[in-house]
Amino acid sequence: MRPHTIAYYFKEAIHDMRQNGAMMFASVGITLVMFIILGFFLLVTANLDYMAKDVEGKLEITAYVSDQTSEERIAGLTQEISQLPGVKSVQFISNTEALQRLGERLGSRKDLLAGYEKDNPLRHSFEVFSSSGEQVVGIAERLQKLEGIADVSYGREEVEKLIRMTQALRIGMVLLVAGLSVATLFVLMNTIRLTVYARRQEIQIMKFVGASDWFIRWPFLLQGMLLGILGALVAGGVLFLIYFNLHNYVAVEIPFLPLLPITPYLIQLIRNLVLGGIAIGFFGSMMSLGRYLNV
Amino acid sequence: MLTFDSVSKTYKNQVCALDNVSFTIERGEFVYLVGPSGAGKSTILRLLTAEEKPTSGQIIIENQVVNRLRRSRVAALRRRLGVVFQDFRLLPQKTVYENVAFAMQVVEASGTAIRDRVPLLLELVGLKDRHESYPNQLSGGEQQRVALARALANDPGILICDEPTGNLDPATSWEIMRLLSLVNERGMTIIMATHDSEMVNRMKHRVIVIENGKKVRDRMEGGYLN
Repeated sequence: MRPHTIAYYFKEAIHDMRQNGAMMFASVGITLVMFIILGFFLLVTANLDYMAKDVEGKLEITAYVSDQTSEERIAGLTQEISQLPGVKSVQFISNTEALQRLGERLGSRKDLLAGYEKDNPLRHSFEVFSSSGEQVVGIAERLQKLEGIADVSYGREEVEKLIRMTQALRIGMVLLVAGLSVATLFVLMNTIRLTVYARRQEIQIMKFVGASDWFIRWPFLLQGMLLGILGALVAGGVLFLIYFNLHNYVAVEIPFLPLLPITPYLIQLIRNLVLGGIAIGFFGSMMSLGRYLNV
Repeated sequence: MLTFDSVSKTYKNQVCALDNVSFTIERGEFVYLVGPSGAGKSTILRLLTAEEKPTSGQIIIENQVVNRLRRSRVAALRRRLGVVFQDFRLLPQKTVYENVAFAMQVVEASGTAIRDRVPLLLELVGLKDRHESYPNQLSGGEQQRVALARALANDPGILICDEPTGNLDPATSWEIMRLLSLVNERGMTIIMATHDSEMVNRMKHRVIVIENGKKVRDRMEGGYLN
């Protein structure tokens, strides 16, 4: 491709965009709105995901050790549990320690436990942390089967709810992205189709004198991609402002609420929107050209 | 150099436009394609420019089987063909110069080549002084001369003319025909579809007559009807 050919592509693309200013403006506007909605939902789900991870990380499973389990077996159990798939860490809590913790929780009514030191009714236990929420159920089942484990408890319902919620969100997300992308594609396709239509005579002559399909396509593809980039960049700017302010507000007012950091996350999001804009513009233009190139 | 070998064409709506047509045209020939409208002349031209594919048979131009060309090779074929239409098909927003230069631009000719060649072409068709005019400021004959200059821009070996004088009065038609003869004398192969019987009788060249999709006559000595 010669440099002056590339210059020609840009010149033609920009000429058309000026000619149809209002239409171009409208389609950038629609693309922009679509991308803001899209970006907003991406931000929301990504943050919910992030929070879910945070909660998941805090989920623990307690495995109670049967009475009369030997010390060697307990040592063996520590080893076996830490090697179970999905286990991040395991900690042995002796019944003495459990009693102490209970005492701490009771606070001023600690005296209720007086006398239990000598005849501790509590059992030894293991505190098991999983590396992700989805594995909690599986780990609990495996623990139950180990010799010397009497009982296993974990926040079963909370875990299942959390898993269902994040999965539903992901599915909804995919549908939304697909739907909005298709809608944007059609908007850009129609805009480009107008400029293609305005140039149909030229296209026909180009075909007759032997211009290659790609030579004819490029100005229109550039138009589509420029529209997509423009829409995505402005939408990215708007999302940046919103998220930047929200992030700062949360950091001060609700500090325990974990939000995704602006860099790199928001920057990645804007980059992805721009790439999406380019792709949608490209395919929109390709589709609007189809019939006119078949001469 | 150009051969139609038992070519038939049936369109999707079952209209049989061409029925087993064969002929060969040598380099540098001037051939009239005559016959009533709807006889199949336009179909022959569309097959030559690879706008259509034949239902059966082969079209060969300079040892290339046109109907088997891949889509990406069709552009290369068309650079070796110049096409002149009955309705000129100039771009109204471009000047005479730009219309001719456009044909070279879109096949990625260099700026120098364009600046060198376009004035020569305009001189050939006698419109050197009108290079800044727009098509709507020109007469029909002048517009057709611009179209001819454009068809010659990429130095094709074959010129395909679809009723080039169909929209012109007899005097102007005669001018265009003189130009075509001049170009032909310089070695250009010309295939011209027409039903201008007077022209065919006056300026004698080989005549291929098409009626109802069949080749009914092919005479080297020319003449429309006899």
